[in-house]
Amino acid sequence: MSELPFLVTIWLFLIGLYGIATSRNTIHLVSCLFVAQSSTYLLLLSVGYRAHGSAPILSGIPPGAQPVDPVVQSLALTDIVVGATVSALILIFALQSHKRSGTQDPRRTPPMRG
Amino acid sequence: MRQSATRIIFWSIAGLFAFPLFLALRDLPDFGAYAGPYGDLVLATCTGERHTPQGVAAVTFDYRGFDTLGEEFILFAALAGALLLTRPQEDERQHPPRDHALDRPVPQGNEPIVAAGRLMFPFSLMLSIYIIVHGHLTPGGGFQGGVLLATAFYYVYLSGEYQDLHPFTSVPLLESLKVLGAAGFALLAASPLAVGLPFMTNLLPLGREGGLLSAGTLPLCNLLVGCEVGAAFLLLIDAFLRQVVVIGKKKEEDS
Repeated sequence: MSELPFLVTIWLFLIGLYGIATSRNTIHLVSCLFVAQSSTYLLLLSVGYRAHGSAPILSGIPPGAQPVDPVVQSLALTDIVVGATVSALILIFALQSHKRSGTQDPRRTPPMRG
Repeated sequence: MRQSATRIIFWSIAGLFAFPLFLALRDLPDFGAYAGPYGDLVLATCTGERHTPQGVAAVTFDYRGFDTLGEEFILFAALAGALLLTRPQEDERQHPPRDHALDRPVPQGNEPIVAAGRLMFPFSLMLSIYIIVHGHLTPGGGFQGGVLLATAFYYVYLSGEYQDLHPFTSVPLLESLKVLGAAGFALLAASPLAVGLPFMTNLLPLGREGGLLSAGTLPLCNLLVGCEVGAAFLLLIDAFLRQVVVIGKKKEEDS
Protein backbone atom coordinates (compact mmCIF):
# COMPACT_ATOMS: atom_id res chain seq x y z
CA MET A 1 0.00 0.00 0.00
CA SER A 2 1.67 3.17 -1.18
CA GLU A 3 -0.20 5.50 1.19
CA LEU A 4 1.12 3.82 4.35
CA PRO A 5 4.09 6.19 5.01
CA PHE A 6 1.79 9.19 4.63
CA LEU A 7 -0.79 7.68 7.00
CA VAL A 8 1.95 7.03 9.55
CA THR A 9 3.12 10.63 9.09
CA ILE A 10 -0.37 11.96 9.87
CA TRP A 11 -0.71 9.56 12.81
CA LEU A 12 2.65 10.56 14.32
CA PHE A 13 1.85 14.24 13.91
CA LEU A 14 -1.59 13.96 15.49
CA ILE A 15 -0.51 11.70 18.35
CA GLY A 16 2.30 14.18 19.12
CA LEU A 17 -0.18 17.07 19.11
CA TYR A 18 -2.55 15.03 21.28
CA GLY A 19 0.23 14.50 23.79
CA ILE A 20 0.99 18.22 23.80
CA ALA A 21 -2.68 19.14 24.24
CA THR A 22 -3.28 16.79 27.19
CA SER A 23 0.17 16.85 28.80
CA ARG A 24 0.45 17.11 32.58
CA ASN A 25 4.23 17.35 32.65
CA THR A 26 6.52 19.73 30.76
CA ILE A 27 9.16 17.09 30.07
CA HIS A 28 6.48 14.80 28.66
CA LEU A 29 5.32 17.78 26.57
CA VAL A 30 8.78 18.25 25.04
CA SER A 31 8.93 14.53 24.20
CA CYS A 32 5.53 14.83 22.49
CA LEU A 33 6.77 17.82 20.51
CA PHE A 34 9.66 15.66 19.34
CA VAL A 35 7.25 12.86 18.32
CA ALA A 36 5.19 15.37 16.32
CA GLN A 37 8.38 16.64 14.71
CA SER A 38 9.56 13.14 13.83
CA SER A 39 6.57 12.91 11.48
CA THR A 40 8.33 15.51 9.32
CA TYR A 41 11.43 13.27 9.07
CA LEU A 42 9.26 10.42 7.88
CA LEU A 43 7.43 12.64 5.37
CA LEU A 44 10.67 14.08 3.97
CA LEU A 45 12.36 10.73 3.61
CA SER A 46 9.32 9.05 2.06
CA VAL A 47 8.89 11.85 -0.48
CA GLY A 48 12.43 11.27 -1.73
CA TYR A 49 12.37 7.47 -1.57
CA ARG A 50 12.72 5.43 -4.73
CA ALA A 51 11.74 1.77 -4.68
CA HIS A 52 14.88 -0.42 -4.31
CA GLY A 53 16.98 2.75 -4.51
CA SER A 54 20.55 2.98 -3.24
CA ALA A 55 22.06 5.55 -0.88
CA PRO A 56 22.82 8.92 -2.52
CA ILE A 57 26.54 8.35 -2.08
CA LEU A 58 28.00 7.51 -5.44
CA SER A 59 31.21 5.72 -4.46
CA GLY A 60 30.87 1.96 -4.42
CA ILE A 61 27.32 1.61 -5.70
CA PRO A 62 26.74 -0.77 -8.63
CA PRO A 63 26.38 0.86 -12.05
CA GLY A 64 22.80 1.49 -13.07
CA ALA A 65 21.57 1.73 -9.47
CA GLN A 66 18.95 4.38 -8.85
CA PRO A 67 19.97 6.54 -5.87
CA VAL A 68 17.28 8.15 -3.70
CA ASP A 69 16.93 11.92 -3.40
CA PRO A 70 19.82 13.50 -1.43
CA VAL A 71 18.01 16.84 -1.00
CA VAL A 72 15.35 15.55 1.40
CA GLN A 73 17.99 13.65 3.37
CA SER A 74 19.89 16.88 3.83
CA LEU A 75 16.65 18.58 4.92
CA ALA A 76 15.95 15.79 7.44
CA LEU A 77 19.46 16.30 8.83
CA THR A 78 18.74 20.01 9.31
CA ASP A 79 15.40 19.12 10.87
CA ILE A 80 16.94 16.76 13.43
CA VAL A 81 19.66 19.18 14.52
CA VAL A 82 17.25 22.10 14.91
CA GLY A 83 14.76 19.85 16.74
CA ALA A 84 17.38 18.64 19.21
CA THR A 85 18.70 22.10 20.10
CA VAL A 86 15.26 23.69 20.35
CA SER A 87 14.12 20.80 22.59
CA ALA A 88 17.13 21.49 24.81
CA LEU A 89 16.12 25.15 25.03
CA ILE A 90 12.51 24.27 25.96
CA LEU A 91 13.76 21.77 28.57
CA ILE A 92 15.79 24.56 30.17
CA PHE A 93 12.61 26.68 30.25
CA ALA A 94 10.79 23.75 31.90
CA LEU A 95 13.57 23.41 34.48
CA GLN A 96 13.54 27.09 35.41
CA SER A 97 9.75 27.15 35.49
CA HIS A 98 9.80 24.16 37.85
CA LYS A 99 12.21 25.97 40.12
CA ARG A 100 9.98 29.08 40.20
CA SER A 101 6.58 27.46 40.62
CA GLY A 102 7.39 24.08 42.11
CA THR A 103 5.27 22.21 39.57
CA GLN A 104 5.86 20.62 36.18
CA ASP A 105 2.20 20.59 35.23
CA PRO A 106 1.71 23.25 32.54
CA ARG A 107 -1.89 23.70 33.72
CA ARG A 108 -0.86 24.55 37.26
CA THR A 109 2.07 26.80 36.39
CA PRO A 110 1.14 30.31 37.48
CA PRO A 111 1.30 33.06 34.84
CA MET A 112 4.79 34.48 34.33
CA ARG A 113 5.57 38.00 35.40
CA GLY A 114 8.49 39.81 33.83
CA MET B 1 -13.88 16.18 33.53
CA ARG B 2 -11.77 18.97 32.09
CA GLN B 3 -9.38 16.34 30.69
CA SER B 4 -12.16 14.55 28.83
CA ALA B 5 -13.45 17.88 27.46
CA THR B 6 -9.93 18.63 26.22
CA ARG B 7 -9.82 15.25 24.48
CA ILE B 8 -13.17 15.74 22.77
CA ILE B 9 -12.21 19.21 21.54
CA PHE B 10 -8.79 18.00 20.42
CA TRP B 11 -9.98 14.96 18.45
CA SER B 12 -12.83 16.82 16.75
CA ILE B 13 -10.46 19.57 15.57
CA ALA B 14 -7.76 17.01 14.73
CA GLY B 15 -10.24 15.03 12.63
CA LEU B 16 -11.16 18.18 10.70
CA PHE B 17 -7.48 18.83 10.13
CA ALA B 18 -6.38 15.27 9.34
CA PHE B 19 -8.74 14.78 6.43
CA PRO B 20 -7.47 17.69 4.27
CA LEU B 21 -3.93 16.74 5.30
CA PHE B 22 -4.50 13.22 3.99
CA LEU B 23 -5.99 14.60 0.74
CA ALA B 24 -2.97 16.85 0.30
CA LEU B 25 -0.50 14.04 0.96
CA ARG B 26 -2.40 11.58 -1.25
CA ASP B 27 -1.72 13.65 -4.35
CA LEU B 28 2.02 13.47 -3.81
CA PRO B 29 3.87 11.02 -6.06
CA ASP B 30 3.45 7.44 -4.81
CA PHE B 31 5.81 6.16 -2.15
CA GLY B 32 8.89 4.78 -3.85
CA ALA B 33 8.22 6.57 -7.14
CA TYR B 34 10.41 9.61 -6.66
CA ALA B 35 10.63 11.35 -10.03
CA GLY B 36 11.78 14.89 -9.23
CA PRO B 37 14.71 16.08 -11.28
CA TYR B 38 16.42 18.07 -8.52
CA GLY B 39 18.02 15.19 -6.61
CA ASP B 40 19.08 13.42 -9.79
CA LEU B 41 20.65 16.60 -11.14
CA VAL B 42 22.58 17.09 -7.91
CA LEU B 43 23.90 13.54 -8.07
CA ALA B 44 24.72 13.86 -11.76
CA THR B 45 26.77 17.01 -11.22
CA CYS B 46 28.32 16.63 -7.75
CA THR B 47 31.17 14.40 -8.88
CA GLY B 48 32.02 16.67 -11.80
CA GLU B 49 31.54 20.05 -10.16
CA ARG B 50 32.53 19.33 -6.57
CA HIS B 51 34.65 16.15 -6.81
CA THR B 52 32.63 14.50 -4.07
CA PRO B 53 30.60 11.27 -4.26
CA GLN B 54 28.59 12.22 -1.16
CA GLY B 55 25.35 13.72 -2.45
CA VAL B 56 23.97 14.63 0.97
CA ALA B 57 27.08 16.56 2.02
CA ALA B 58 27.17 18.34 -1.34
CA VAL B 59 23.58 19.51 -0.82
CA THR B 60 24.08 20.41 2.83
CA PHE B 61 27.23 22.48 2.48
CA ASP B 62 27.22 23.53 -1.15
CA TYR B 63 24.07 23.45 -3.23
CA ARG B 64 21.89 24.46 -0.25
CA GLY B 65 24.70 25.76 1.95
CA PHE B 66 22.75 28.93 2.63
CA ASP B 67 20.08 26.92 4.49
CA THR B 68 22.75 25.21 6.56
CA LEU B 69 24.13 28.62 7.50
CA GLY B 70 20.67 29.55 8.79
CA GLU B 71 20.47 26.25 10.67
CA GLU B 72 23.85 26.95 12.26
CA PHE B 73 22.53 30.24 13.55
CA ILE B 74 19.39 28.58 14.94
CA LEU B 75 21.66 26.14 16.81
CA PHE B 76 23.82 29.04 17.99
CA ALA B 77 20.84 31.13 19.14
CA ALA B 78 19.13 28.19 20.92
CA LEU B 79 22.36 27.38 22.75
CA ALA B 80 22.99 31.03 23.67
CA GLY B 81 19.45 31.18 25.07
CA ALA B 82 19.94 27.96 27.02
CA LEU B 83 23.20 29.19 28.55
CA LEU B 84 21.66 32.57 29.38
CA LEU B 85 18.78 30.88 31.22
CA THR B 86 21.02 28.56 33.24
CA ARG B 87 23.05 31.28 34.94
CA PRO B 88 22.63 31.22 38.73
CA GLN B 89 19.55 33.30 39.56
CA GLU B 90 19.32 35.98 42.29
CA ASP B 91 18.04 33.56 44.91
CA GLU B 92 20.55 30.84 44.09
CA ARG B 93 24.17 30.22 44.90
CA GLN B 94 26.78 27.75 43.80
CA HIS B 95 28.02 25.12 46.17
CA PRO B 96 30.77 22.51 45.83
CA PRO B 97 29.66 19.78 43.39
CA ARG B 98 27.36 17.28 45.09
CA ASP B 99 26.60 14.49 42.67
CA HIS B 100 24.29 12.25 44.71
CA ALA B 101 20.90 12.28 46.33
CA LEU B 102 21.06 13.45 49.94
CA ASP B 103 18.87 10.70 51.35
CA ARG B 104 20.86 7.78 49.92
CA PRO B 105 24.35 6.44 50.66
CA VAL B 106 27.02 7.29 48.09
CA PRO B 107 27.70 4.16 46.00
CA GLN B 108 31.28 3.03 45.70
CA GLY B 109 33.01 3.00 42.32
CA ASN B 110 31.67 0.28 40.08
CA GLU B 111 34.56 -1.39 38.25
CA PRO B 112 32.68 -2.83 35.23
CA ILE B 113 31.05 0.55 34.53
CA VAL B 114 34.38 2.37 34.76
CA ALA B 115 35.92 -0.24 32.45
CA ALA B 116 33.07 0.19 29.94
CA GLY B 117 33.55 3.97 30.05
CA ARG B 118 37.30 3.63 29.49
CA LEU B 119 36.60 1.41 26.50
CA MET B 120 33.88 3.58 24.97
CA PHE B 121 35.53 6.98 25.45
CA PRO B 122 38.50 6.55 23.06
CA PHE B 123 36.36 4.51 20.67
CA SER B 124 33.65 7.19 20.35
CA LEU B 125 36.27 9.94 20.14
CA MET B 126 38.08 8.22 17.27
CA LEU B 127 34.84 7.35 15.50
CA SER B 128 33.58 10.94 15.76
CA ILE B 129 36.81 12.35 14.31
CA TYR B 130 36.66 9.77 11.52
CA ILE B 131 33.04 10.70 10.73
CA ILE B 132 33.80 14.43 10.70
CA VAL B 133 36.88 14.31 8.45
CA HIS B 134 35.35 11.77 6.04
CA GLY B 135 32.05 13.65 5.83
CA HIS B 136 32.55 14.41 2.13
CA LEU B 137 33.33 10.78 1.22
CA THR B 138 31.16 8.49 3.34
CA PRO B 139 27.86 8.87 5.20
CA GLY B 140 28.28 11.29 8.07
CA GLY B 141 29.63 14.78 8.42
CA GLY B 142 30.01 17.61 10.87
CA PHE B 143 26.60 17.39 12.49
CA GLN B 144 26.61 13.65 13.10
CA GLY B 145 30.29 13.57 14.09
CA GLY B 146 29.85 16.57 16.39
CA VAL B 147 27.07 14.86 18.33
CA LEU B 148 29.19 11.73 18.62
CA LEU B 149 32.14 13.83 19.80
CA ALA B 150 30.04 15.16 22.67
CA THR B 151 28.77 11.63 23.41
CA ALA B 152 32.35 10.49 24.02
CA PHE B 153 32.53 12.93 26.92
CA TYR B 154 29.10 11.86 28.17
CA TYR B 155 30.69 8.42 28.76
CA VAL B 156 33.19 10.11 31.08
CA TYR B 157 30.32 11.38 33.21
CA LEU B 158 28.26 8.21 33.01
CA SER B 159 31.11 6.00 34.17
CA GLY B 160 32.51 8.47 36.68
CA GLU B 161 31.60 11.58 38.60
CA TYR B 162 30.81 15.18 37.76
CA GLN B 163 34.36 16.07 38.80
CA ASP B 164 35.72 13.74 36.08
CA LEU B 165 33.78 15.54 33.36
CA HIS B 166 34.51 19.01 34.72
CA PRO B 167 38.05 19.43 33.26
CA PHE B 168 36.65 18.79 29.76
CA THR B 169 33.87 21.37 29.98
CA SER B 170 35.92 24.53 30.32
CA VAL B 171 33.30 27.09 29.31
CA PRO B 172 35.66 29.70 27.74
CA LEU B 173 37.33 27.03 25.59
CA LEU B 174 34.06 25.43 24.46
CA GLU B 175 32.48 28.80 23.78
CA SER B 176 35.46 29.83 21.66
CA LEU B 177 35.17 26.54 19.74
CA LYS B 178 31.47 27.11 19.23
CA VAL B 179 32.03 30.70 18.06
CA LEU B 180 34.91 29.53 15.84
CA GLY B 181 32.56 27.02 14.23
CA ALA B 182 29.70 29.44 13.64
CA ALA B 183 31.81 32.46 12.64
CA GLY B 184 34.22 30.36 10.59
CA PHE B 185 31.40 28.91 8.53
CA ALA B 186 29.85 32.35 7.98
CA LEU B 187 33.21 33.88 7.01
CA LEU B 188 34.02 30.95 4.72
CA ALA B 189 30.67 31.46 3.03
CA ALA B 190 31.08 35.23 2.75
CA SER B 191 34.76 35.32 1.72
CA PRO B 192 34.09 35.00 -2.05
CA LEU B 193 32.15 38.29 -1.83
CA ALA B 194 35.47 40.07 -1.17
CA VAL B 195 36.77 39.11 -4.61
CA GLY B 196 33.48 39.87 -6.31
CA LEU B 197 32.22 36.27 -6.64
CA PRO B 198 28.78 35.05 -5.51
CA PHE B 199 28.14 33.97 -1.92
CA MET B 200 29.52 30.50 -1.10
CA THR B 201 31.56 30.13 -4.28
CA ASN B 202 34.13 27.38 -3.88
CA LEU B 203 37.55 29.09 -3.83
CA LEU B 204 39.66 26.15 -2.67
CA PRO B 205 41.17 23.65 -5.12
CA LEU B 206 38.80 20.71 -5.65
CA GLY B 207 41.48 18.04 -5.45
CA ARG B 208 41.31 14.45 -6.62
CA GLU B 209 37.94 12.84 -6.03
CA GLY B 210 37.97 10.35 -3.16
CA GLY B 211 40.96 11.94 -1.42
CA LEU B 212 40.79 13.18 2.16
CA LEU B 213 41.67 16.69 1.00
CA SER B 214 39.24 17.05 -1.87
CA ALA B 215 35.85 18.57 -2.64
CA GLY B 216 37.01 22.15 -1.98
CA THR B 217 35.40 23.73 1.06
CA LEU B 218 33.34 20.67 2.08
CA PRO B 219 35.87 19.14 4.53
CA LEU B 220 36.51 22.56 6.05
CA CYS B 221 32.77 23.12 6.52
CA ASN B 222 32.42 19.68 8.12
CA LEU B 223 35.29 20.45 10.48
CA LEU B 224 33.86 23.82 11.51
CA VAL B 225 30.35 22.42 11.98
CA GLY B 226 31.77 19.45 13.90
CA CYS B 227 33.57 21.88 16.25
CA GLU B 228 30.42 23.89 16.79
CA VAL B 229 28.03 20.98 17.32
CA GLY B 230 30.43 19.07 19.59
CA ALA B 231 31.09 22.16 21.71
CA ALA B 232 27.37 23.02 21.76
CA PHE B 233 26.28 19.62 23.06
CA LEU B 234 29.07 19.57 25.67
CA LEU B 235 28.03 23.04 26.86
CA LEU B 236 24.42 21.85 27.07
CA ILE B 237 25.22 18.77 29.19
CA ASP B 238 27.38 20.94 31.41
CA ALA B 239 24.58 23.51 31.79
CA PHE B 240 22.04 20.81 32.72
CA LEU B 241 24.43 19.08 35.13
CA ARG B 242 25.35 22.34 36.83
CA GLN B 243 21.67 22.98 37.51
CA VAL B 244 21.49 19.74 39.47
CA VAL B 245 24.95 19.31 40.89
CA VAL B 246 26.35 22.78 41.56
CA ILE B 247 23.51 25.30 41.79
CA GLY B 248 21.16 25.28 44.74
CA LYS B 249 18.72 27.59 46.51
CA LYS B 250 20.22 30.03 49.01
CA LYS B 251 17.77 29.09 51.77
CA GLU B 252 18.54 25.38 51.49
CA GLU B 253 22.23 26.07 51.95
CA ASP B 254 21.77 28.32 54.99
CA SER B 255 19.61 25.93 56.96
